Amino acid sequence: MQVQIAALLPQPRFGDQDEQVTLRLKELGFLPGNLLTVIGFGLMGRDPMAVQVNGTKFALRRAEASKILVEPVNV
Amino acid sequence: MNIQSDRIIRFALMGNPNCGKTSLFNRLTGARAKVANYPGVTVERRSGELPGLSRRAELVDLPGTYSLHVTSPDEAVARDVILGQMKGEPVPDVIIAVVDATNLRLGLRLVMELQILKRPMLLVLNQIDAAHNRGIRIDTARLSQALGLPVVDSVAVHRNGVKNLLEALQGFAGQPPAIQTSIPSDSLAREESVEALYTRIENLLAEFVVLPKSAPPWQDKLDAIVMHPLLGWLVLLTVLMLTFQAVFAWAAPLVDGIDSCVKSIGEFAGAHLPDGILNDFIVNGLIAGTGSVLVFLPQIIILFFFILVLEDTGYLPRAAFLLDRPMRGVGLSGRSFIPMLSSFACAVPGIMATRTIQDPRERFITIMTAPLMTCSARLPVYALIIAAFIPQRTVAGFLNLQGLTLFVLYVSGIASAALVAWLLRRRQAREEFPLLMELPNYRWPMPYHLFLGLRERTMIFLRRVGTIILALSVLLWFLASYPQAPAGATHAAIEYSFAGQLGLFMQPLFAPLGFNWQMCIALIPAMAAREVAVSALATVYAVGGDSVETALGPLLAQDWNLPVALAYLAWFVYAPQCLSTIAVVRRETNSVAATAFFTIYLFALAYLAAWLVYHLASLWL
Repeated sequence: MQVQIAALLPQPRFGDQDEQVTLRLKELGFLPGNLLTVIGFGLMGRDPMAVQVNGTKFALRRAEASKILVEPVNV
Repeated sequence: MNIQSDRIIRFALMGNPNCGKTSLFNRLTGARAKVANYPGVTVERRSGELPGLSRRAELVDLPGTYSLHVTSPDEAVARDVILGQMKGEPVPDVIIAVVDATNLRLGLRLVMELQILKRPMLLVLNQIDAAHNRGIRIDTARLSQALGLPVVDSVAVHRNGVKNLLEALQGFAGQPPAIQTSIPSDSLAREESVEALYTRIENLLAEFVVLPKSAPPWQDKLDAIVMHPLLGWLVLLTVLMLTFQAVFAWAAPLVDGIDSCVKSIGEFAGAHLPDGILNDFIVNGLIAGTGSVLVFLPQIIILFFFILVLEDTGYLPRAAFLLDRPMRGVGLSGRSFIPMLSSFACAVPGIMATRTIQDPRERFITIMTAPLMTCSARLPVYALIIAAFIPQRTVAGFLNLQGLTLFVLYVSGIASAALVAWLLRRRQAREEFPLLMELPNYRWPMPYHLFLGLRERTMIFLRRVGTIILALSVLLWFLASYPQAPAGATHAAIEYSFAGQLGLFMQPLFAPLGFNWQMCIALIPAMAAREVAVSALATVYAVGGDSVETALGPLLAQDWNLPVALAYLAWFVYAPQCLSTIAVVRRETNSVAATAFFTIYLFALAYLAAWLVYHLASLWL
């Protein structure tokens, strides 16, 4: 499943560290406009999820995944 | 020649995790690596002499980092060393920035961040062969020009793959290194947004790099299997079963071999040395003590072989990913699973394996709880007591009561570990920091790298932990053998020794648990290894020779009652009855306070559990 990153949202669960998490996500390539592919899930449920962005695969837990707003790929 | 030109030159390897930095380090330094800890943290400092240059050179392998805006202690160490703010650590003269040539964007981003520091720097495009196989073509010369940095390519897995790199390093070593000063960390303020930086990278890539559309399909196909809801389980279970089986069963013949070797050496020495204290010290203290260190080696080597292979191939992070959910319930993550699993064989290699856990808090919790997994040394004690006290009976139609008891003992350990982990996590209530773990490309493991990794773990164990275990075993031998029984003694020799006296002295403390003095005495030599409790009980009950297994059980059944036996079992579920474990906790936490906490909490838990079991069983049974 391929989508496009639209924005990075705040996530109160990270408290003071939220800004740092946003920054780290961006540094790893989770930037608006980049394509994101969901490649799998952990055992038991849909959390964590594995995604590919900018050619690199990452594991994301629900909390950080919820910071990433995505939209259908522009045609 | 002035002093300046004699100065050693220091290179530091800096790069993303999984960029092949450590294999490059191994290739460059060969067998000369030294592993220590940075002061005050449990982050490893890996350094080694770099041969083949015209000046003496040291190479430091910094922990992998994605960014100078750090999120973990590992990354903080890498940043502080580069900035020159690590106490006792000289500023590196030259940064060797390592970038995985198959993952240029992520690597180049860090390189551009490092460029702000204006330190002498060199860019290495590692795994260039893999990049070529994928059809990636990089115009190194023009990229170098555009970045204003020397750029070389390397293949860490091949002997000749670092030729260009060595030539470039000689370029730095050929001239006297300038003095580097430390840089305050507030100078790291972002001059340029992440977006702008990535735009620059995209422009560089468009101009100097030919990038094929996608990664080789086999990588994605493999991931489709590994992360398949059903096949993923199968792969994971197979891998875990194999690892566990290897540590548990394959090590056994090697351990027995070491055991009998040590015994024959001891017998040989015993026969050729004059009788007396020296003979006793060498045979039963020194040689037996060395044996008690060496018996851990097969398990450690086998476990680390599996961990290194899983790590190098890229499966370990995926296993951690798959197991993240079940482990998170108690505040851990998938990373803790392999240390926990290995602890069923032995907690010593299990605790050493916690080095794969990045989060220090999680690593601490895993170290504290891993010894609650039922290790193989508990089995002889469990087997003896279960066989003596639990009747061979079928319950609920098909369950063997003895087997059920053993099962309950295993489950108690696991459930307690989960509870303790949960409590420790809660005590430090804080926001959870994201998992954000890279799932690196699959790769073939490199035998040379594996060999060096195994050798490194073995040496660390022998040097850091082995010496403590040896010293403690000799001390324990002394306590259990001296003073010797007087002539014409009527009781077992151990009763006259310090250990025996200590056991007798401790007995009132253990009386509320129903333990008699024989049980207390047996606890002391069992500090060497839990299974020694069986032979110690045989000694105090004066059961000799080969009849231990058949004669001791019935004797215990007469002397103890069922609640006492169950309380003794409960004690063994929790008590840190093994000095080797305590020694390895001391080494891995690098903290006396943590080791004291570990020892005290487990003894307290053991006492409480034994007391509860004794009283409840006395009431109900």
